Amino acid sequence: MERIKIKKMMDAILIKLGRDAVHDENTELRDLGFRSLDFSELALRVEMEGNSELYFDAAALRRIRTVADVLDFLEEASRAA
Amino acid sequence: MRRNTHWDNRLWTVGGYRNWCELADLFEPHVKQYDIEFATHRVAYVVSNHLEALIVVAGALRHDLDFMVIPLERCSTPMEQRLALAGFSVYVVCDNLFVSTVAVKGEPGRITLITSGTTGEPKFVEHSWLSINTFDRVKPGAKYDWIVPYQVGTYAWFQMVALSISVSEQGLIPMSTNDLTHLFEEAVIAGASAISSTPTFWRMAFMQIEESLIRRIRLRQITLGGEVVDQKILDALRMQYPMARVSHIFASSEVGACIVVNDGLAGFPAKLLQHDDTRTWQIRIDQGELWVRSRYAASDVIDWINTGDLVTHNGDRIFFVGRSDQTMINIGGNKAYPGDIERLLLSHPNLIWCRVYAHKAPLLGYLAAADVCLRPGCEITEAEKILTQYCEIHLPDYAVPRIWQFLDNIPVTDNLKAELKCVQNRTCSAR
Repeated sequence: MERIKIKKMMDAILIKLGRDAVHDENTELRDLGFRSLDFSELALRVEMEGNSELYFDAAALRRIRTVADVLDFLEEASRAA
Repeated sequence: MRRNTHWDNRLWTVGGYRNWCELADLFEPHVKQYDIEFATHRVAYVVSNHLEALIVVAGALRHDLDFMVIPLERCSTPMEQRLALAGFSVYVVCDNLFVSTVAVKGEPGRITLITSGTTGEPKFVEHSWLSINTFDRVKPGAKYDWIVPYQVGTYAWFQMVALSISVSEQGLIPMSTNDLTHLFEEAVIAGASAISSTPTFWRMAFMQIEESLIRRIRLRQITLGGEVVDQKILDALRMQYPMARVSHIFASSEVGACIVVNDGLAGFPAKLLQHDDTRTWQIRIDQGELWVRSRYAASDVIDWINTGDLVTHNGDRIFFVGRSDQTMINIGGNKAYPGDIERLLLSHPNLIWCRVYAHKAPLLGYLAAADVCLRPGCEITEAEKILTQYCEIHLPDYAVPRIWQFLDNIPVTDNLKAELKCVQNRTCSAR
């Protein structure tokens, strides 16, 4: 899935939760208030959109710190699905 | 037979038939039509309308048959196979024809009901007239003509038939629920004064029908059952029909009808937990689940039965909070309860109906998901944000639904109950 599409989904989740959309991909997730629940929802929405389950690399998952990491990770996971 | 005496001189005000004997007489050609041996067999009568169904019930009761009635639309090939496995010969009333025969002797007086299938495949539940007829101790009261929206052959439908047979001046107005506006228009014309239905029926009505039409029916008795009745629906009915008594009944095909509440409040008084020999039923709570013992229970229920309904004690009131088989969503190790989430959502003024369920999700295992119907006129574009933020105020973060579907109509079973939803897989499409 295209990175820009994943970014739009992420923004939609943040806005729904009453937070600001992402302006800088280098923003840390904890500064954004983007929690594991939000990440799970985003990954689920990526799966639904692509109509296939994503497979996660646990080591890569642990390295996620910023918005860019999330986008990279899901872009890669959806490509591999 | 003792039960024959029940249906003398009881009025059925619709269709021109003056009493149940008259209906039973109409059944006689069918009895003569088939081999006399089959009259002693277990027979499923397939009917194409309510009148046929009533004729079958009246005639089958007269002859003490072992029977069930099933509407034509439910009699699919898999259903016919299930009927055959259960030992039923299948007779299509409008064709005067057995479409399948099984040489299984019947048990005189056994009546088999078919459930609505809210939680899965419809079940067959065995009763007798004595267990179906919960009105045998009811004294004659006000005259009512009842709208009967239930599907033929279900427990709720049989309850209405039993009411009409057993209590004087209780007319039945069987109606299709395919078009609710038409139903309400016809009910006005027929002069309906009472209705038995589900909360889902009313939620659909409030979504689909002009308020002026809703108020044109002069209802004096509204009975709710089949689902949990919340305060919001009770208050809405009270507002639309200030002259009506609104009752809600706890009943199921297995335990029969028991708790009846008339005080306009959700739940039921805790004092009903006290043993009372004058009642035909007793209830108790064991580990949060409601147990019932009733003389009107299904034939194979001989003692206490676990209803599977979870209840909570709050002051002097007992409230239903969900089903034990669908109670918990494990969200990354945190437990969320669909019943709690649904109750909160239903308290939102924009919402008319909802159901909450587990949706499989990456990393955390499950997320809470909600299907909702908004009140007419509410804007859908902002609804997800509004409802999410409403939940965030009142619920722990993990319990806030993450996947929302906004439905135009409440998904219902054929017997007017909202369909329940099981766990959704990860790749199911949703909004």
